Amino acid sequence: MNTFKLSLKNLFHRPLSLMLSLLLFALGIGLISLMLNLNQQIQNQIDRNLAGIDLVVGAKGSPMQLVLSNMYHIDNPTGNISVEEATPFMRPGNPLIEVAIPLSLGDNYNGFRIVGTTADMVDLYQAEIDEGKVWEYDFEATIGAEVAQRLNIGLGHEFHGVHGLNADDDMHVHDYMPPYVVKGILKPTGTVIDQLILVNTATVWMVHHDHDHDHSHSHNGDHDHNHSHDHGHDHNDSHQHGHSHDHDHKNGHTHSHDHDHDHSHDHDGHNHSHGDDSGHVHGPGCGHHHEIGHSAADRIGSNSIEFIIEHHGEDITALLLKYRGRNIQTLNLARQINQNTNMQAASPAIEINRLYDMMGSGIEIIQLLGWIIAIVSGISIFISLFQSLRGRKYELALIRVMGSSRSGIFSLIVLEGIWIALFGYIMGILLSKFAMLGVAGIIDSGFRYTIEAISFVEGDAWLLAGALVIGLVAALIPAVIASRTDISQTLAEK
Amino acid sequence: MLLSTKDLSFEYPGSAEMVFPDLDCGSGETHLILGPSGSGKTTLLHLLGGLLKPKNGSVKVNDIDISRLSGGQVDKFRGQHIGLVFQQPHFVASINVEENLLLAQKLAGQPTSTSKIKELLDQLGIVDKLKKKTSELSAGEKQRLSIARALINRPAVILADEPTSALDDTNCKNVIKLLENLAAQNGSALIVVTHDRRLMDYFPNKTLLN
Repeated sequence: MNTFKLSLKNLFHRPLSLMLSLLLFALGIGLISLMLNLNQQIQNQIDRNLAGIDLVVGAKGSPMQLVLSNMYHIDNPTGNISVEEATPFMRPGNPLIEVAIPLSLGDNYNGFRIVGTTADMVDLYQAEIDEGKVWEYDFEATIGAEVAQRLNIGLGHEFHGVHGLNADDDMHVHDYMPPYVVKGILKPTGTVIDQLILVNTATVWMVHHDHDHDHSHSHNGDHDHNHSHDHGHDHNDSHQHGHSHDHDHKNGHTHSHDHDHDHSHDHDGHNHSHGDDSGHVHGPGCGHHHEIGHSAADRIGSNSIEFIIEHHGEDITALLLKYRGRNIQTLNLARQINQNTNMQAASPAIEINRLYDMMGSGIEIIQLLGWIIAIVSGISIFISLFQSLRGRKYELALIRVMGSSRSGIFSLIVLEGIWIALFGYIMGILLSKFAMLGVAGIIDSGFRYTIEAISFVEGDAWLLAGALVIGLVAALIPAVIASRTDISQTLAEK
Repeated sequence: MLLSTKDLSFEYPGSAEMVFPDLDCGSGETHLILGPSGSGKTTLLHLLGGLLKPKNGSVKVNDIDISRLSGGQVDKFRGQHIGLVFQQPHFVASINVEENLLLAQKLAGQPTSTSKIKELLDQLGIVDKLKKKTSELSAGEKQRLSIARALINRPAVILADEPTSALDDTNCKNVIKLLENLAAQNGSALIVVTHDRRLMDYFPNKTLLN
């Protein structure tokens, strides 16, 4: 029966006040630790996915949305840009730009985004092929490690994309199209590419050309509207753009709608009048669609940038740019794009800093709340110890009579405060990990990002130090009072 | 002499000085200090136990003048050489009977020994309460337990402050007999401070305080 044991026994002798103090302490510590870890995990994810991208070029709109949708694959794209307009930045040999990667978004498979792009995408995230190969022909897909693992699919797996960017966006399965075939699986990189399904751009174009028509058919009769006015899959998007070719709408789907074509599909009843707000970006020149649709499958190099440039009548969602070097010209590039084109250029570095600032203040407020709760818990420890002294005065005097010194009594009381801090800290950390599991689940189902729920940051160690200091300070005054108590006087009070 | 005092005096702030008669108590001897309330009985006992420091004079236990020891030293010395029994038996409430005695051994710097505790409690007739909470004991049992606590480290001096005044006649007799017997058995000097006239007959050596 030493001081350690005795202080513990004393604590558990007053279970209710112990519980209150512990609960408060755990809550405070839990909140702080949760914020520390969440912040760290999110920053890790954000930083890993910067991937050396200097500029994102896409449709006009919110620059942050542009960055989030095309680099992080959360949020909807700002819209589409025409290949023609983007061509100067894609052309190999551009003196400023080392790599330009076109992205075409629009569909998903079980919530994993299908991205039409070029093979450079793989190098951008320094991904390596684990099995199979990089996509090459139409409807070939190379999938990220996370996609393969979560969906438990391997090489040769066939699937149809679903229109929309999230699993529950829309129920239109592109099953009138040939299925995608998994031709390759990437090794895990810890970046966003793990959760992407990569295909060539031509396939995305194709799927959406035919989708439009098929979709109209399928709704024919169900809706009393003209086909040309409602292409169905945009119901959930906030289309509020005006008539004619509006490049600024919020629809992020790459729909190059061809109005001059004479597909073999049934177009009777399709009255595609230009100028309506179909919600699609109508490519101005439309001479290539049949070529895409019918012969691109046989073409090697359809995931090259040259192939995209060739199809200047089509649209893409965005371009990721990496500069050759930084100089005055690259500094001005973003401004030039924003001023002189219908496109928007956003710098990931600036947007992410803005995001950190916004996120940071929220996290700071919650952390502050955590500290306030922890300090209130410290006060509750103080009150509880202070009140217990009255009842324990005689008992403490007896401990002195039995041979304990003043410092013995002091440490006995201080230890009680420190135990509460220590137990509260442990409970708080457990609480924070449980909460992280919950948050990880939400992030996973919402954004397909995997964050490490059970992680520890340096701040957790500092938090332990902070917790012990609060416990110590809370117990300090009661401990001093207890150790100074005149035992003769106490014992003489009958 | 196990315990001897000389020219002992004490003064509470703002009160008159109290002067105490010299005491000498040898091994196995018992001594009764009688006096009405306010006569300074408890003060004398606290001086003997090192709970108070005298204004003048000396308190020698085992030939060591405890009035000259520092605060920490006197606490330690008390734990090892002086056993105290109080009118109201108090214990550390959060721990059981056995643990209270283990604590007494530990705080005195003695090796802890459950067998010693059992032996002593057996002599006091409460060995079956070993694992009980102290709050579950009766008044008589509590006083026996406080005797056990005072005696567990075989102190040179046992100081008892009104050990019987809260007890009925039967318990009073039992408790004082146990104290006497165990003190004699240990070779300890036993000093009892009381206003309880029932104890007059048990003690050959008496000092009256006024």
